[in-house]
Amino acid sequence: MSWINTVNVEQAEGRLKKLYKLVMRPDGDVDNILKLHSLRPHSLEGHMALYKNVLHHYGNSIPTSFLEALGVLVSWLNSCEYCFIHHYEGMAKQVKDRDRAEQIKAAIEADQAEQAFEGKEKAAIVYARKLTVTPKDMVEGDVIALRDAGYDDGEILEINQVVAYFGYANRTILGLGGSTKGDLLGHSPNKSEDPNDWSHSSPD
Amino acid sequence: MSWITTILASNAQGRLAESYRGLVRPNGEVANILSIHSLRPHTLEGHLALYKATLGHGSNSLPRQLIESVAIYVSALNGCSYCVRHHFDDLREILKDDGMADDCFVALTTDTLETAFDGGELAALRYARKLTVSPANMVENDLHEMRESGFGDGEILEINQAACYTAYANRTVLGLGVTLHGEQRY
Repeated sequence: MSWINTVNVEQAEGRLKKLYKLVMRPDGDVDNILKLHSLRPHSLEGHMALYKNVLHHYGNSIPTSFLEALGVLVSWLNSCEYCFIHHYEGMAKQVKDRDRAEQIKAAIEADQAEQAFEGKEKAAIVYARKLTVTPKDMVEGDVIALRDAGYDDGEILEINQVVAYFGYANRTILGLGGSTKGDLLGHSPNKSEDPNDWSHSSPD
Repeated sequence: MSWITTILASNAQGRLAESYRGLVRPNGEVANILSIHSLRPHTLEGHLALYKATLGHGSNSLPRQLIESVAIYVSALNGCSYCVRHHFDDLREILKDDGMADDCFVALTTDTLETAFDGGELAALRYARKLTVSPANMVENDLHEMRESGFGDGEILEINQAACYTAYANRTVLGLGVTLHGEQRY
C-alpha cells in the first residue's frame, strides 16, 4: 500500500485514533494519503488544516469545482496518479456534469488544459502550470496576467494556494509510495461552512 | 514587498488581527511570508498549522538542524532565496556555531552536499533533492539509503514532510513575489 509502515483504523490508538475519527469516511475507513501520516499524527493534523482551508473553506470565493480542477491539473503535471484520480472524482462531483468533467480531464491529459476553459480560468491554468513546473521562473507579469483576466488579489491568492498545496500533497504521495488501493474515490472534507469539520463524504 | 495587496499588522482588524497575534516581531510587523496571506486569513492558519507540524514540532525525532537543512536545500533547488535566508537564520540559531552554519550554507546552496554532510544526513538530502526536482521518478529504492543509515519509517516521514512543506512554501513565495523588503532582521 505504501513504502513506509502505516497504522490501520482498527489498530489506531490515542491521538491517531482521535484524528482518524475526525477524517473518517462513511464506510468507517480513512483515505490512504492520510494513513501515510500515521507514524507522526501531528503531520496529519497539519496536512488536514492546510487542505481544508485551501480547498474547502467558506472564505474562498472561487468555486470549489475550479479549485479542484487546478488540483487535477497540478497532480497530472507531477504524475501523481493518486491525487489525479481522487481529485478528478472530487471535481466531477462538484461540477455535477460528467460530460463536462470528462472534457476537462481529456484536455489535461492532452497537456492542453487551457482548451477546456475560457476567460480568466484559462489564465489561471497558465499560472498553475508555470508555478508547478518552473517555480523559479515566476515573474510579476504572471500575476498581472491573472489580474488583467479579471481576478482580484484575494482570488489570485486562492489560486496560488491551491497550486502550492498540491505541490505538497503530490510529493507526500510520490515520496512515500501511496496508492489508491482500498480507497473510496471522490470523498473529501467538503463541508466548507465548518472549517473544523474534517469528515470525508461524497457531496452527492 | 509582493505582487498582491497585503495588510500590515498595524492595519489588521478582526480575524486577521487575531491570526497575526503572537506572530508580530519586535519591529511591530509580521514576516512577509505571513502577511502575504492577509486577504484570506484562513490560508494563514492552514500554512502555520502545516509549518508547525512539519518543521517545528517537538514530536519529531530527527534533529532540527537536519530538518532545517532539508528546508534550505529544497528552497535553494527551487530558487527561493527568501526561504533560504529565513531557514538559514533558523539553522544558525540552532547550531550556535557560525563556522559550521556557513559550511552547511555553502554545501546546500551550491549543491555540494558532500563537503558538509555524510551518512544519514546525506541520504536524507539526496532523497529531498529527487523529490523536489523530479517527483514523478520516485521509486521505493529512494528510501534505501536512509534505511541503511538507520532511519526508521517515522523519520523518513519527517524528512518527506519537511521537503513537501518547503515545496508548498516556496511556491507561495515565488508565485506571489514575496521578498525580504521591509523585514527587520534580528
